[in-house]
Amino acid sequence: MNWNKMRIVIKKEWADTFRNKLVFFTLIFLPLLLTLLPLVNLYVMQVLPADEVSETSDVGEASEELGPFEPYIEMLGVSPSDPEGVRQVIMVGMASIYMVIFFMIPLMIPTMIATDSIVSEKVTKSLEPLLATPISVTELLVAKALAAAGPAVAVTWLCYALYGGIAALFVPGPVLGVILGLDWIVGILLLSPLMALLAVGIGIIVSSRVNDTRSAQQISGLVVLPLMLVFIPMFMGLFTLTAGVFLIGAAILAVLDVGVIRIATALFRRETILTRWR
Amino acid sequence: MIVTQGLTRDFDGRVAVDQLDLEVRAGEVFGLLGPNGAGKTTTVRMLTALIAPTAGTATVAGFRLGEEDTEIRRRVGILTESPGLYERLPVQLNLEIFAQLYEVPAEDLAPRVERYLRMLDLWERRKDPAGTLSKGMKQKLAIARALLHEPQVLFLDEPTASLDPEAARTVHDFIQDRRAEGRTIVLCTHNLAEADRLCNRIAVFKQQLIRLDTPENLRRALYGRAVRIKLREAQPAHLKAVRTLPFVKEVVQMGEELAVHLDDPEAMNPTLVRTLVQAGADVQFVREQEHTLEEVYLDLVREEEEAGR
Repeated sequence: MNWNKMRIVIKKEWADTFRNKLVFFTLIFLPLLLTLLPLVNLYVMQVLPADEVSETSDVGEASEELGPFEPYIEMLGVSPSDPEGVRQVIMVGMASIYMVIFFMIPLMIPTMIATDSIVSEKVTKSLEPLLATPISVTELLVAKALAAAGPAVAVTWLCYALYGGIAALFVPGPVLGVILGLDWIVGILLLSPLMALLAVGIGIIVSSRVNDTRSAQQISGLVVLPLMLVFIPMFMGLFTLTAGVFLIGAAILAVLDVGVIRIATALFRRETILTRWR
Repeated sequence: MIVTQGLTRDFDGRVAVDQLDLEVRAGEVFGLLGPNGAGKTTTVRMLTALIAPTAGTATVAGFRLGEEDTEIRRRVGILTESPGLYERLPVQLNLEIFAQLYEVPAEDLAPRVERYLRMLDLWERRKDPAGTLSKGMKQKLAIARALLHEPQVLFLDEPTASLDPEAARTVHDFIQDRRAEGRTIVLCTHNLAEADRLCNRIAVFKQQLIRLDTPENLRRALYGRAVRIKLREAQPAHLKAVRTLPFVKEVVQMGEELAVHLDDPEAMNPTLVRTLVQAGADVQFVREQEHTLEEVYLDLVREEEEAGR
């Protein structure tokens, strides 16, 4: 593989993609918004008087009210009758849910970039001159995948760092323990690249069949976002996400990645692009 | 420079190019003419190592198709049917990206990009997004992109399609200049006047090769040579007098003009004119009868279709 040529393609992809205002907005503004809104929510919970966060001081009622967050009572070792304890339980629970945002970002952004890159090349018919150069299709595909996945992973990690950094300024220790806990660090470091790669693969597959960026993005979104459904049991308090769960998730994602990238690679051949892509 | 033997490509049973045997010589402008769907673009795609033939062999710039495709891609330039530019990127960056992908040495990159942009009157627009250029300018930019790496063979697919006459003229001049440099050019076009003006040889082509020759020989092979003689008042006696000449193959009266078919007008015209004057004709003009390449092309394609039926 010629890394110099791949670097040129990546440079071109970024120069081209970031001139698209919609993609640029999605890449910068949306992740920032998704990062800052939960912080605002956590901040409000933190500054509200504890008895306003929970409406009851009855242990039974409080447990019922906490619903899926109930397991955190034992984990944090607080009393359900203690308003301050309940506030911490709710904040820990909410903080855990918000962490899922850092799995949405690496799914959304690469889809936007990959579909914009490939569909716009199809529409302007710029793939043929590109394929006529001495670059190999593998180099081209890898470069396009890295150009789409790279910013997504970087933005995810940056947003996570920003989230953790700002949260550290005001959330109580147990809440920060969840946000910057080893479990989530492992999860985000490991899963976001794998999710980004999966999104790129799906983006390429969808883009090969569609001639309109918006349709490609919507269809890719329909394929990619249901992946978030796997987090529903966590929202329901059925299990807690730990480093072990993330490792299993990473293994499953890696298998999915291999399958999707294989399909994308099979579609991304000079011959196929020029004669079969519509 | 290019040799094909039995080059064939089919798409799921539909034959696009069938048993094509061609030889394109170094330094010539070689025209590929054919109706829509004749297989011109497929041929160009095969010869630029973009798609593989299903049968047959070819060498391009001395490299074997299917075995040395990367080497072929390094040595050919292609102007595709649509310019295929990165419309959001500046004109200059469009060229720089391709110059790097074509492995233009770093020290040559900037001067070469500047040279081609100036050559094609695009230098002043170098910082503008390619999407803001006019159609003609986009086409010129795409031509510059195809030439940046100084390819041995240049494939031009419809280089002047949808250009205004002035832009088309610039492109024609540019092609002629490249021919003068000794570059081999394969030109696919529907513009027969363009082919006539630019091409050294022309292949008329519809899946299979119909005829391959110089534009002049194509005309002669099909129609022979003829002169048109304009008389003040054409009479049957004039026609009769011309028919008595042994070198005249055929005479047709067309109003006040006689179309006289013969082999060697330069040698035979003086006798022909003398005979007419002796027969009492007032000769006003004598000129060689021209057949446009369009007539040749349409007749060849029609003949092929009739033979196919």
